[in-house]
Amino acid sequence: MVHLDPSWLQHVEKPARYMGGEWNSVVKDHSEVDVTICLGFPDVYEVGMSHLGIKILYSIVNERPDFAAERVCAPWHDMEAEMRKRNIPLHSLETKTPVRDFDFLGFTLQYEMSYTNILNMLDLGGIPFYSKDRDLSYPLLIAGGPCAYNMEPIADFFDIVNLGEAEESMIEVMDLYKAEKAAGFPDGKEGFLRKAALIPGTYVPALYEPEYTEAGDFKGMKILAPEAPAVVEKRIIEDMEQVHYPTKPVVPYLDVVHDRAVLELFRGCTRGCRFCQAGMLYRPVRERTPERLVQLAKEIIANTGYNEISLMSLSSADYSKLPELVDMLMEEFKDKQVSVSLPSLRIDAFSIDIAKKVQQVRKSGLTFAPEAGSQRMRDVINKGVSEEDLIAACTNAFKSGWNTVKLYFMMGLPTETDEDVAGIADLAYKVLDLHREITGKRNGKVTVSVSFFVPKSHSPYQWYGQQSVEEIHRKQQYLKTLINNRNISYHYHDGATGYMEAVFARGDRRLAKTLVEAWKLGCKFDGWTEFFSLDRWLEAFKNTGIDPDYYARRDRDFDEPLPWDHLDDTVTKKYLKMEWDRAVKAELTQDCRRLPCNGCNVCPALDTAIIDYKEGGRVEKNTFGFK
Amino acid sequence: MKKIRLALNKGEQLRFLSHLDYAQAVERMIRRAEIKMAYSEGFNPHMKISFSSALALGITAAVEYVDMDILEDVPVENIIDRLKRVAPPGLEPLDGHDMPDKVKKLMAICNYAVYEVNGPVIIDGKAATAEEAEAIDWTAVLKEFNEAESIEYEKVTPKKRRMIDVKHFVKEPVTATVKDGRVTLRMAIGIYPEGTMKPGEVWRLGMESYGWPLDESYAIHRKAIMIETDGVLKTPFEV
Repeated sequence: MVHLDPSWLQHVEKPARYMGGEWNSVVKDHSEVDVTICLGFPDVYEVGMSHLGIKILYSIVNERPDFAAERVCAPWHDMEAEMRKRNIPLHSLETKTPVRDFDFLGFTLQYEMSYTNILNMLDLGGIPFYSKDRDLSYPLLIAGGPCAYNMEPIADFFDIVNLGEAEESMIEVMDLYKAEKAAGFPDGKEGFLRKAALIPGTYVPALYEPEYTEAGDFKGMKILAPEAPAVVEKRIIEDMEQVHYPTKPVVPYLDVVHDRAVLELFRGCTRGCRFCQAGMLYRPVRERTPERLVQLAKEIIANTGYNEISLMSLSSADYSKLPELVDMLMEEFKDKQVSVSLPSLRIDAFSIDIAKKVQQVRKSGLTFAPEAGSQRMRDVINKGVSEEDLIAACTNAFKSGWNTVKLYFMMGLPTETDEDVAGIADLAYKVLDLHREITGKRNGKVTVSVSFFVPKSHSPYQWYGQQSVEEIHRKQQYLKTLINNRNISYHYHDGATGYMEAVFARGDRRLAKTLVEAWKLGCKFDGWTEFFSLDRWLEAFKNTGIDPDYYARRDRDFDEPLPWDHLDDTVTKKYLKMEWDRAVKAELTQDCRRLPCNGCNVCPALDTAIIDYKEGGRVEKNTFGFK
Repeated sequence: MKKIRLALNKGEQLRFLSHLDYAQAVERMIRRAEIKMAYSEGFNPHMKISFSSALALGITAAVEYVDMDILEDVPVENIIDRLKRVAPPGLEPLDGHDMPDKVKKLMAICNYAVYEVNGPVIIDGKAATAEEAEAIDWTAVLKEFNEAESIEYEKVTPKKRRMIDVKHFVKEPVTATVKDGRVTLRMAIGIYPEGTMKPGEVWRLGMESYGWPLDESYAIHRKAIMIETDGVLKTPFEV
């Protein structure tokens, strides 16, 4: 057990990040449980403690008296320096046990730019990076989260990957470990991993070996063990009503990013925005009933003392019973000083009505994501939002007293022209003019925030070569010349981070050595603009003989084997290709929620269906998949 | 509505909470106990509670007082019992009293704090053994500081620097107890409208100007916070 002495700990920034002991944190005696896991978040405490996935797994594992789950986050730079100076290994928050001493060390893969932090945390934990260099005296490295669908750049580091929703598969893996441990691991680590590969939704990278053509292109995976399926299919939880939900989440003392109760309304989103990987990965839509949600909310508030509940989902305004739920929550908590908040708004007047209801305090402005400036471009990405929708939403908002609107856009989308970019400025001016028209005042404020599009695996844009950083910088500057109003503020990020993200979002196993090299050169906290250095990354690529453009910028052939073909979210490639074809023709695809099936294949493949309580629950209709 | 005054601690587990973090932890504990509290009016209602001090990040306290306006008519013991059930480690409800409606703000009356500052004893640049630390004549070490009529000290804050008289704030002789090679200095410090002195500042002043055998690694614990009137000390429960 590690001891952190206050005499030096008091000199690091926010020492409470490392203290643990928060309300609802679970401390178990390791000698009294059979299997231990440390759940790692590869970023600083305030970010990690805001993540719902870790709360869910922490709770579900700790429900089991024979298992213990603890947490660890990336130490901030100053703490890392102290730990290295004092030879303090990376350790858990709960029992201050070195991560090395757990049976499992898990990492959630939320964004590619956190990969160097994973390496840094392993190094701080005294754990070799590569799976092949670790015997069973080290913890098994397990991963999950959206980036697990293209695990390949970091596949060599991990032992086990949970594809999809892990509430069940994680427990199954730990049960297997318990049994194997009791039997003394008769077939060693390899034997354990081979058995784990039989658990549906479990990917064991060591059982697959990538093969390349002479030209150096990815050719396919050679399967090294009979237990390893050719394609690993994701897991989902169909019944959101019954599945365990954390009603006793850890309550951080520090002001973390999302410091409030979180209510997950539903999973999945079938709007079908073509740039959106999550929209494909988390299908189908599965709702909880409002009654269940109110019950969960009551328990969470009673167990935490929070005074705010956030209604979370990929697109919360799409919850079919949102007005009813909001009324029920407001009624339940009316004398308890608990407020309800919506993290994301759909662009329509309805959403504003809901926002008006929940947001008594107008602390912040409203945020909308039209994603693209012109109607043509929005049709290309299947955003399904028109200028009229935005005007209707803003009209309602300005009439209701809001003066600030934030608009999110992307740049670098397929088929984008300067005209589409100029559309962003047009839209911003229209919204500002609308404010003056409605209120007669000149205190309206529009914030335009533009990000650089990163094509992701498992989306219709997975074949698309990303635009160059130079081109994005040119477009950013072009847009800047079009925005000359002190009531419109314009924000954009340096394109280089998006470029690196694009490399790893669609990379293969050859990138592992580049990651290690980048880490050696000092890359970490790359998701933080102030710590990201493109020069260091380019040096890492140079030193390892890899051309980043090969991964980020190359248009891939539609029949080319892709490094993630064996990691299956059950949306077929054929369907994605059809979506690509429709995209370039600016044709829309309807949301399948209440309309006929579009043939993405998820429902038949997983033998499941959309669950929508406005439609009475499980929606029985013919579903199919293009293959 | 009635007003109650509670005594809580700020234990080792909460040492690194800022005053705002600590206040939020107390508020969340109150909410978990489902105590009906009075809230301020307005767009952003806040719970009506007030503390006896703003305990800085890094300091633990044997006792901290908090006044709260509650809308329930129950004995204060009932409130304490309910809080105890939902109190996190390091935040223990210790005692409570009913208070008259009109009481002066705790922060305005609490003017006397007793601290224990603990750190290693340093001889010739390195940590002393238990025997070496015991062998020091601490009364003699502290004599010059304790007997000085006044001590000029330049207080530096992020905003400004100014000269103060240390002896105006340090109320009793500083005393030492030694254990396992570490020393605990007990100091009583006045908190006045014109300012105060931090226990860490006294520690460093002694180290730098009076030859106290210490270094920068110290931990501060506040033993008591009281009200001093004409030389008589009372706890916030006794006024």
